[in-house]
Amino acid sequence: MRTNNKLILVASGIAKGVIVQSAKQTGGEHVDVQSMSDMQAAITVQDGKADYFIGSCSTGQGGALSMARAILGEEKCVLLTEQGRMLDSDIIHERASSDYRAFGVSADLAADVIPILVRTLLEKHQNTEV
Amino acid sequence: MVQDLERQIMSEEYHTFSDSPFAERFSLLLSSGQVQLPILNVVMKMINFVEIEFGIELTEDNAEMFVSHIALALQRIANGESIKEAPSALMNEAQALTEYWNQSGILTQIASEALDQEIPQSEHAYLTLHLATLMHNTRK
Repeated sequence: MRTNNKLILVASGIAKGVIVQSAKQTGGEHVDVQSMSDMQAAITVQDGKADYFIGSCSTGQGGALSMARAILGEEKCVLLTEQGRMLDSDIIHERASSDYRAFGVSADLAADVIPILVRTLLEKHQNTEV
Repeated sequence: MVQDLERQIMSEEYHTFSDSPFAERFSLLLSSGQVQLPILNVVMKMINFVEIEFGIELTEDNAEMFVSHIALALQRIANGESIKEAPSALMNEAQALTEYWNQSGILTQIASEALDQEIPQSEHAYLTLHLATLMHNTRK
């Protein structure tokens, strides 16, 4: 659900500040991104008040998506970093283009991952706009 | 004095979390199968230690990620799963935060005793940085 045709993102976790900054830099006027607690962020997506959840944690192993998994369901969640490494941009692009609503990143890689994620999400929504 | 506190905390058992500010978070972690009840007992011990040792109250506002991190990390350790190796820069950063490094050492001891398992050094580093962030959030 978008207002003024903007993509609405909610950022949470230990790197939410970086996520917000990077998403705004990438998406400009096409995105609306807010930071909030991971629980609140997941509920916001569940309630249809945001399009996507972006979570972060120190290790990228679990904390980034734990509340999203519990509230939105495991099938809606995917990590974009694994074993301390950023995934190939092709894989990030593929995952962002799929039906996932919640994305998790390791805090130290957030600034690198978010631009790819946001560009893909914008592309996806432009392609589905009527 | 810290040893006395540690002993006191280790002797406590938590049978209900309904009064905890993290009750909803714990409930979600349990119902989604991400964490099991005995782990949350250990998490409560660690929360209790931090609150007493630092004289602060842990709430959803200042400690959401700290609490989730502990719960999920301990569950991974209890499951025999690996903890991501902390890069040397992160280890150095954590060790430079002397007070938090020392207090996190006590937290890992509490966890280790409760789980009857060794806590990896990397987890000591992650706990240290989370503790530093927690204190920063609390003192803002």
